[in-house]
Amino acid sequence: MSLTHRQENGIDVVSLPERLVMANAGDARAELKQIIQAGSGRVVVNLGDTEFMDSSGLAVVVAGLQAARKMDGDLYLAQMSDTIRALFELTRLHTVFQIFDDETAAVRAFG
Amino acid sequence: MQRAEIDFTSDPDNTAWHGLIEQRLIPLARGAGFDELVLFGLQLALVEAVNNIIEHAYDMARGQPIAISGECAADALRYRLRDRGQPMPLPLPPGAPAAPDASGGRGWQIIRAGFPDVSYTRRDDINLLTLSRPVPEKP
Repeated sequence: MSLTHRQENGIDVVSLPERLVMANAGDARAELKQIIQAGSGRVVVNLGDTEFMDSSGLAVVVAGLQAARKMDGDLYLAQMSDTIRALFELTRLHTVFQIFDDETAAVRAFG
Repeated sequence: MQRAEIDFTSDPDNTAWHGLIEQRLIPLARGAGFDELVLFGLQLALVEAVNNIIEHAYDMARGQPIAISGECAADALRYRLRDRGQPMPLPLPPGAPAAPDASGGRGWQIIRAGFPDVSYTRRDDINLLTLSRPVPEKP
């Protein structure tokens, strides 16, 4: 569907679609969960292409974080726009996720 | 006073109505002088309000009517959402922040962040949700 996925040094790097909203959140959530469970639990979600996200979209990344931490891993966010960052700040989710300016920094942070 | 109106039908798998909100309703707010970050919040709040209609009032059923009218007066920007679904439970949610790691419960927080003044009435089996926000003072 709308997620793109690759692996880099054992880390799953996932890019979210341009819009992540109620209409596609269910599929995205299932796909992200499948990627995480098939991997190491170390995940970078790149939001560079994501221009619009509603609360259903937020629930997708929260579910991803929970799945990753269940595997003793983590899920880092990278490359979010100012508007998406404002949404994370409004909902206080910026206190839950580690957020990086770019994907490379997020991947490197896993060590 | 500037006005705009859109109507469409519910479809949980379709986002065409997002474009109607962006292209027909948000220009009212842009004309009132809100900055781009606020405009994003208003658009998002309207999307959340429609999501609630589709999910709760219509229980994800397709083909049910939804209408949104917008007006920008001297004092406030107002959008009125109408549907013929189930009534909203009262009182309306306060929009308190969800627990940071909660899976859901952020929709009303987003709606109230965009529109501090929210009212709801139901008449003749029609739900009417009114979302208002004062407009910025002109320099």
